[in-house]
Amino acid sequence: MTEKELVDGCIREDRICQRELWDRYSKKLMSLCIRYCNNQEEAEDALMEAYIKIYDNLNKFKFLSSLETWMRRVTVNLCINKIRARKHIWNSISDDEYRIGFNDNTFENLQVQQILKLVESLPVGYRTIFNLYAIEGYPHKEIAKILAIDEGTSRSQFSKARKALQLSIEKLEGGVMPS
Amino acid sequence: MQNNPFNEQFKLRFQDLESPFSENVSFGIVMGKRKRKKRRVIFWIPLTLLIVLSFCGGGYLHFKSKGIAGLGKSPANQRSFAKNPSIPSKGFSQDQKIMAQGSEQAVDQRKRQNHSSPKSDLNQRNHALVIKSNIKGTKTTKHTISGIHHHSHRFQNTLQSNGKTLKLIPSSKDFIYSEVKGVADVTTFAENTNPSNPLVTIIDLLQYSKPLIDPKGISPYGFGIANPLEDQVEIPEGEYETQWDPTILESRWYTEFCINAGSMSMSDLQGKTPMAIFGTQYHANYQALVLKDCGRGFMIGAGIGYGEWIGNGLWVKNVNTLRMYVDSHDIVVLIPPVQTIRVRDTTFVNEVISSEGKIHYRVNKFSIPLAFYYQTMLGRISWRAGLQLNPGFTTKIEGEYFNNSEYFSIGKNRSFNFDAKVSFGPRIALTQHWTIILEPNMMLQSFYDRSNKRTNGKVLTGFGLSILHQF
Repeated sequence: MTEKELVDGCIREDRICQRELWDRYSKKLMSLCIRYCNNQEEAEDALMEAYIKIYDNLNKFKFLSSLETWMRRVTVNLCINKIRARKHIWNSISDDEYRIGFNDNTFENLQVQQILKLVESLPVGYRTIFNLYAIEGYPHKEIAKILAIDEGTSRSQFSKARKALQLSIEKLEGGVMPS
Repeated sequence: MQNNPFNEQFKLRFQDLESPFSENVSFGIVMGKRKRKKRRVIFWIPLTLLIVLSFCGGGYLHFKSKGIAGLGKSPANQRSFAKNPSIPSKGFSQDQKIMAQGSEQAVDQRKRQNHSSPKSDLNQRNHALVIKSNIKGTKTTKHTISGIHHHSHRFQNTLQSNGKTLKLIPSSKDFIYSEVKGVADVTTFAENTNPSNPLVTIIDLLQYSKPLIDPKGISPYGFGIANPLEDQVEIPEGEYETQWDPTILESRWYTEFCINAGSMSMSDLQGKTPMAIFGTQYHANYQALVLKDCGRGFMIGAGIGYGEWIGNGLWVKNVNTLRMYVDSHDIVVLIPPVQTIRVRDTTFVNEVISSEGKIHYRVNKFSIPLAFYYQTMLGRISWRAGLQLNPGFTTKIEGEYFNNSEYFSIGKNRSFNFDAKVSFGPRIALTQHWTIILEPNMMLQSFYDRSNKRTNGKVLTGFGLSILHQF
């Protein structure tokens, strides 16, 4: 079944197409939700809400991008709205953290699941911006707009997130301190 | 995006990543939720309309029933009667035998008088019947006149209450007082009355409108100081008196509208737990109740209520970490042979990583308040103690619920809630039917969190304002 047929079927409220849409993307979107939410339950709630939203708004999908991209976007927006509703404060770690260097290739040696675990352990603010910038590929300008924060805050939060991850990786590898 | 090396690195690795979910999530559940969400919209609009219509209908019926009741009774008289049982409810009795006798005498007297007009005949007959039917034959004329006097006076009140003309009364008053001294026989007294006298009309009405008759007896009507002995007529209890039980005139049903708000703050300044939570919770409740007075100061009732319970807070978590810094310096010793010595300076710094965030939760709910009240007088003020049990269901749950040491997400599923309120406060009567009650109170707010399978609850102190209306 092509994307077009799938979307048309869902708009017609065809249960088979709706089921196919669920089977095809639900686990991928679940992994996305887990990255943004605090725990499994919250992620599951977000996933279900996202699917309800997707089913209700599929008629607005114009095929300008792939269906998966659109669905991911809807899900990300929903997760962001949840985070915004929580009114998180976007500063946590002292600026001393900047002194520590960071190697961009740090993650290369890690498995995806390991990275995921590390990302999950980050505070909400860092995690959100790390997810949006590093994984989803949103530019800082757009992140700032989505989260209603300054672009500078987004950048600094990302920088801090990287450093927090670096610290975690060092702990994971046996506590090698940078010189 | 081209300048984002992280995205290039991560995108491919995360794009196809799949995560399993628990058995609580499935296609069927999602579709069910979606269906319920659609149904909710369809459900709530008619429900809101139904509630509004119920209130409007109730109000309409209330005013309608009040209007009908007003036609049948004299609120001024009945109220005073009910509230002052010490007033002797004499002055009115009926003795069928004497009435019949009186009727005959009246007819005979009428024949002697030879009135020609049929209308006058009718009026006079009624007049005589009434007078005779409301006196006791064994009593003196003076007392009898007093009895008549009572009737006319009572009827005056009745007329007032029914908005009819009062022009009739002065003439009847004049009539009575002009005749009191000289009249030896009541029948004669009645028959001598001009048929067109308004008193006749009044008594006609009196005879045929039992609901208008107030049996309590009003204080003597006249000028100057009344002689109480004159009115202490021992008249046997008549059937009217048994019919006129004042308690049945007192409505024992009330409506109450109540607004109640309260709050509670929490803080962990001692830092006993790794995570400190500072928060404020507040609630607002709106209730409409129908109450029944059970006597002896007790009142029970039920109704509908809507409440909102909101919590705003801040969590702070401090984690102490010991961090090691190594500074290395190369020292060149210039004395031959030239040597380089590397000195490593290690320092340990204790750093506190502080995380903080805002938390918020909200619980909206509908409930069915079951109220138990007790009213009593303390000093010169009337007080009301109340206990309310409000079982119900939540309509909206969201956010992170918190207590002193932890916070957690609460599920959005509709669930049961149970509130309870204990209150005590003064009653202030505004009018005869309207009363305000000020109620400082303590209210337990609780709900069942289906996601975490636990019951969350808090006791908030607050203040309520109730408006009580007697039907």
